[in-house]
Amino acid sequence: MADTVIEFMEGKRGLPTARACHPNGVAFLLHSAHDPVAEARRLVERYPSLKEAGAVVCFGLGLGYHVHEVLRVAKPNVQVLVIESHPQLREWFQQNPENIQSIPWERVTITDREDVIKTFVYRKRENFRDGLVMVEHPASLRLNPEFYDTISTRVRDYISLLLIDMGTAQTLNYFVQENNFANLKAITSDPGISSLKGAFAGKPAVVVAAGPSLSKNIDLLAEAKNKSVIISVGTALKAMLAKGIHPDLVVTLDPTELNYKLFEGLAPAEEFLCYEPQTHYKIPPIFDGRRFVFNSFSSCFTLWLKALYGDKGYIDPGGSVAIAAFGIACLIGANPIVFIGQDLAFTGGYTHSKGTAYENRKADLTSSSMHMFEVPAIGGGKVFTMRNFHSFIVRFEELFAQHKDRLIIDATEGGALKRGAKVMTFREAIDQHFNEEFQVLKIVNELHHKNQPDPAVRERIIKEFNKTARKYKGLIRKLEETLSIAKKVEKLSNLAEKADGKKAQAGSALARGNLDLLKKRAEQLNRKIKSVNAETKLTNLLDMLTIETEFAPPLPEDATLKEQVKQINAVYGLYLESAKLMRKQMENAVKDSLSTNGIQSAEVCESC
Amino acid sequence: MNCDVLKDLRERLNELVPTLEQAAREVAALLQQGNVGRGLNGLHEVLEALQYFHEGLDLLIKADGDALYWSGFSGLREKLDQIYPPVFAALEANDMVTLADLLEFELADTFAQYYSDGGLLWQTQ
Repeated sequence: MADTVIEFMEGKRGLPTARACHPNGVAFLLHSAHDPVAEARRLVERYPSLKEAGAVVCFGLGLGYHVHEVLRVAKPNVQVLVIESHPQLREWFQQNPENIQSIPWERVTITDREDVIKTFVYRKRENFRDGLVMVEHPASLRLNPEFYDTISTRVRDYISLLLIDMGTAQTLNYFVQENNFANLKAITSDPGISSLKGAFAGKPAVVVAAGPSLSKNIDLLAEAKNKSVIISVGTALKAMLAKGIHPDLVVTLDPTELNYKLFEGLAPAEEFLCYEPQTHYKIPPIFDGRRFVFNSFSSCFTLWLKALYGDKGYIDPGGSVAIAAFGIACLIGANPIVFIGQDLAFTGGYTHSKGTAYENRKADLTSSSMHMFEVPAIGGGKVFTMRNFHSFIVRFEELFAQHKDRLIIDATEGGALKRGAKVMTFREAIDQHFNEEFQVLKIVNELHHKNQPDPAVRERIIKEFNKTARKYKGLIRKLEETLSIAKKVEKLSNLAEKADGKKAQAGSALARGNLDLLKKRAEQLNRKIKSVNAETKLTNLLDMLTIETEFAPPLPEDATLKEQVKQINAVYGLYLESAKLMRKQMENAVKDSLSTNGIQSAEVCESC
Repeated sequence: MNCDVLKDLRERLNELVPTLEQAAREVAALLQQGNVGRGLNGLHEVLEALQYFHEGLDLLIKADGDALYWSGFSGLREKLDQIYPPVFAALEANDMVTLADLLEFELADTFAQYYSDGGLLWQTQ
């Protein structure tokens, strides 16, 4: 209903209401003409969990009566995202003088854009911890049912993507940090991916993923060599090399040992590795002298490192290495970009293509798991996928929409259908678009040679690591003192509890003395915590290792002293362990990875 | 018509008025909450009860038209007859907001008004 016009009018009791008028003559009210406030109250009563929610998504704004009601009922720190497709309504609400004054705008986001929705989900993730409620304004949904149908799926997708990211972060952050340190030697000696920017403008590229359908057309890749830039994900490399096909670029970003297993024993001869600094540290050495670095993930820690070694070029990871490969195809200027093996579904019941490390892995399609569901398939019908694959489909579709200047071809010949990609066979893609020969590796080699990083960067990092490791020594001491005082407070608090239980002793001098001491120690603890918290830069750098604290449930306002001390022990205990690890990793990085002689490592040991 | 039968009919219609008023408000609330399916089922029941109500009134008119006219019933009948066309128009346009408004602020309020005015119709004999 794109042409629907909104008529604003005064209701029977003086409050504004609105009518949606479609060019075909259909008209309907968006709010009661008699009592829109009571109407909104009834709508919101349908969502009793609103009172506890940390975040609310309203589908449909109308004139915002229900948004006011949501804000009235919900907790004062609630974050509200209102999705409204009709520009007239967004404009009216935001320009209404009454709303300008009464709406807490720092807590309300109004949009129809998917990127804003995604940003909301990610930025307000702490609020999601207290629960999310989705409120539908029925009359608004009628304005644009298809939009709201799609967008509600998107909101759910973004939330599951966030959960996957959070889960991944909690599991993998230790390895991510370890790899970032271990790869520093490579990072400081390799050119960034930005060296290849625009190098293949207007030339075709093939993104080779490792989905089950790759077996259908992998042999045709030989015809694509030097008629396109062949960009392979790490998982597909083994299958390609087994066929004697060498990709031009191999992309990897997974920090786990499992990722290394995909490369172990392979002997890539000419291909260049494009890697993220978090990649498992054993992989870059396999491609010695033929590597490009790119940055995809950011945390305080990785941003700090990046500031030290300089910009290498950003590639959107989207949670999948194939998405990163697509990002590289875009960066080099490729057009068209052809996908093969990008099923993102269990075609034929398999998870991966033949010839890959996972070739025999089958998905249990009889499972009633909520993570498994059907999506439209290439070639018609439906195909099974799972939640994280689906989140990649969503990301691809977003990216395809952003890159309308490129022809994107899905030549997978199976798997899930992706909006924005033209479906054809790989044979057709080659015949239609791969007509000109060009020496891909020659161009890549020249650019690699031309963009070698400044050797002084490594010295600069060593100096900064030495300085920061010394600072961590001070922070570690403060954290140990904090935890020691917390222990004393806990002990005194236990004694006070016992004394309180024995009424006869409650007013005794001993009990009073204990309480005085408890008060003194608690004040001391507060001061110490303030002093630790003042070390913002050092504590922020520990963000990868202390992510758990971000998701810990907040203490209630009336938490007892014992509960508070327990929380302090948990949080600052984690900071202590993380600070110790960070310091050790910095020292080791200087000693093992970065240092070219023994002087710098000796300097670190001096500072221990 | 037998006086007892008429009396019984009046009593039944008398009882039906607050029930209809309450039901109209409940259906309106369901529609406002987006429970369209349940709301429309409820509306169907309200319309059936209204049909029964009108048939009862027709019988009373036949039996004692003057008394009913005197009682002010004609006003109620007229008012109800004015409500039905917009109700069906809202239903046709799938305009649940207007439908809920009509049920709550026209139909239910009309019954409430006549009832609170002393139920003119019901006291006469």
